[in-house]
Amino acid sequence: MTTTPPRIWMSNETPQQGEIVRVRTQVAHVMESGFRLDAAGQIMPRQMMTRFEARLDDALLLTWLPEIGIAQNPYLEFTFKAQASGLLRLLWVDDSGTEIRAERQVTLA
Amino acid sequence: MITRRNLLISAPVAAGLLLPGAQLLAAPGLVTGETRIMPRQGKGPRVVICGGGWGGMTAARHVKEQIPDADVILIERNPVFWSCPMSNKWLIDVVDTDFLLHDMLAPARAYGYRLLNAEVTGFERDKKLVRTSQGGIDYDYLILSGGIRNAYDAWFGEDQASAEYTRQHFPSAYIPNAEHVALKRKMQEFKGGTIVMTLPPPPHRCPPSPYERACVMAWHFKTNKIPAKIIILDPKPKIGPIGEGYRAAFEELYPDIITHVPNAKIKEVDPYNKRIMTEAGDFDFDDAVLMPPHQAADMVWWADLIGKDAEGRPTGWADMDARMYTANSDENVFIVGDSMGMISDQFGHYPKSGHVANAIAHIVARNLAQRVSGQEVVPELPDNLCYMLVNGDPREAIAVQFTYALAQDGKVHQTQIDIDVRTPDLLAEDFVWIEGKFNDFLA
Amino acid sequence: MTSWLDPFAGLVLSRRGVLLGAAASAALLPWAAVAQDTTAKPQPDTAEADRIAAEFAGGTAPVASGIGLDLPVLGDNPAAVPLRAKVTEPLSEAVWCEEMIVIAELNPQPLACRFSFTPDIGSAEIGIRLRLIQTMPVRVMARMSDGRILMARQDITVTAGGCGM
Ligand SMILES: Cc1cc2nc3c(=O)[nH]c(=O)nc-3n(C[C@H](O)[C@H](O)[C@H](O)COP(=O)(O)OP(=O)(O)OC[C@H]3O[C@@H](n4cnc5c(N)ncnc54)[C@H](O)[C@@H]3O)c2cc1C
Repeated sequence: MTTTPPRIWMSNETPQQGEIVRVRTQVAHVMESGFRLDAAGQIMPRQMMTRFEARLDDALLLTWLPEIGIAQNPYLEFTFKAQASGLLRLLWVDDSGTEIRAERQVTLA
Repeated sequence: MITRRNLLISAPVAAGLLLPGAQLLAAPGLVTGETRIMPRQGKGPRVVICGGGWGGMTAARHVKEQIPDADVILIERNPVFWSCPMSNKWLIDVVDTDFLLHDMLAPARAYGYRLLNAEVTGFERDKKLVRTSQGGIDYDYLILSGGIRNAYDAWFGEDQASAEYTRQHFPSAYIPNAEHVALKRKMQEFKGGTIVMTLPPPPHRCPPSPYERACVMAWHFKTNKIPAKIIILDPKPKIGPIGEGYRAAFEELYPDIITHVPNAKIKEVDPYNKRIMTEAGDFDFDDAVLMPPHQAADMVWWADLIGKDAEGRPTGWADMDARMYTANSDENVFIVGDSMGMISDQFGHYPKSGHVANAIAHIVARNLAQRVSGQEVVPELPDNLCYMLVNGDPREAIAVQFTYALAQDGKVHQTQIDIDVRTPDLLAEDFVWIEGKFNDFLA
Repeated sequence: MTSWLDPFAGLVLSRRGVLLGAAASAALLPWAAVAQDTTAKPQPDTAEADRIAAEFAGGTAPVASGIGLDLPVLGDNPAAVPLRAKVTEPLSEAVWCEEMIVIAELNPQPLACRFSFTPDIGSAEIGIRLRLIQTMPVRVMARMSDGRILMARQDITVTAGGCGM
């Protein structure tokens, strides 16, 4: 669906126990609202990113359900408290069921 | 063969020196108002392109490619091509000088246009003539891609001495010339203190790049433990484009170095006492990068193609058709690149970037070929993309993308997408981007 | 003058709609937008936003505290207005933020997005980019695990321009 990798930035990949880690993410997605008209005056079919989730290994941290008020190439920043080492697993899903995944290792210092 | 039909030989003759003809011809050619150079080649139209930067070099290649029998002449005052894109990264040696500096003769040979190393000095559009420091050149179509001028007069009026002093002491390094070298040396030799950076009011060349310059300079000072402060005097109410990406970089990477001052419209610049008065307060500095307001290149003024606002004052930018890129008062003149004027009341100007200059030059080449062959001229829109380095270690960049579309109201609309998550892959993409562009107009 | 010198001879200028430059193969956004005309209409008032807020609160009266909302007063790019929101009180295994919503009150569909947090995250701070069809108030609401509803609300002025919605 997209040739561009998700952009991921993490404040610290080796945080102290209890440290608040900041994560910034952005993926390329058209976020077509289903309201716009093309040059011929036809409605452009809706194509929205509808779900994001972040897990540390299997433990769910948060889910995000964007609607049409979220900008193209959706940006999401969140923080979590580092309580264990693990793999931070990020997943985006869109209307057509396409999935984008990214992972970052978090290792407690 | 250069013919100098009206070569003036009065000086040596008056001195009584009766020189044989051969020696006369060996004397340096004197250029007069009547001198005509570069006789036409071939049967096709003559297209003269003024300014061999991002827009002009792209136009030269693609006009020649699209109209193979055209006599294409590119006029550039600098002997070599210097890329402003990547020049901030060059300040901290992410790229070396060879990356930015390029021979211009090889592309001229490879793509079959003629390069004239001369200064454009004026126009006689009624005669379809360009005046240069080497002599006059006639044209059928003219493409102006002279970039920008530094409008020091906006600060100093008629006071040329202060403008001169400012340029010499606090160069802006926003035009492809030696000022970049001066800036790099200044940065490397700086021992500590306060550096002020004035941002031009919009529209100006490459809106995100002054912040990039602040970041790379701050990184240099931070890494080399030089006690420097950089004060960005920004006439805008906030950082932008990529405002959030820059804000994060300033706060997280350079909190002790960079101060961004919004709404700092310049009231007065005193370069002698190193002081700037703004609407957000007065600032003293030890050194500075003083960027005056930008305007269309001088050549657009000389061609008398600058727009006027409702009160009849010059807009500072070309008065041109937003879809055809031709001057409103002269359909044989195209304006490409940063000199371009207002496009839409929705967003104003296209971003003054190398990407847009390149895209418009492609479009103008296609449109000109359509015109010359009597086909329908199909207007096209550019896009834009800029990558900006914010961190030297790890090397992380942010980016901004603009897309354009024609709305049913007939106006061009802009959508701006900031990519403000700083990552190394954006710098890798920047290299892919610039290599693609260089391959498009440098041989 | 030969005919090629007469540039507009027999020429029809076309303004037949939209053509993106060949260079528009943008790497960052594979789908370049092709039109800005939209059937999306702003809400006439905050009634729909209020309905969404009431549904979220589920009968509990929201308190206007406990959420730090960072939104510019002026959104100069309506296609991407940065918003950051944070539950400012300390979170614990006993009290955490379960859910947070962002309401762009006069957007065609005011609910901009919904977050659900688990106690494992140990934090409730988010940053997003809104597209806003016009000037409007923006509301952020959070439901805490102890049943409280926190709320913050701020007006934003949006300058003219395409929001891409
Ligand atoms: C620090 C910096 C970073 C930048 N980064 C980026 C980036 O990452 N991406 C991007 O897309 N853009 C970037 N830009 C912007 C980009 O450099 C310009 O937008 C682009 O060069 C515009 O092309 P142009 O052809 O209009 O002007 P220029 O490239 O400036 O070319 C104009 C040419 O005309 C010549 N000229 C002017 N007057 C005369 C005359 N009278 N006679 C003869 N020759 C004349 C000049 O010498 C010059 O070579 C950056 C700019 C700066 C300063």
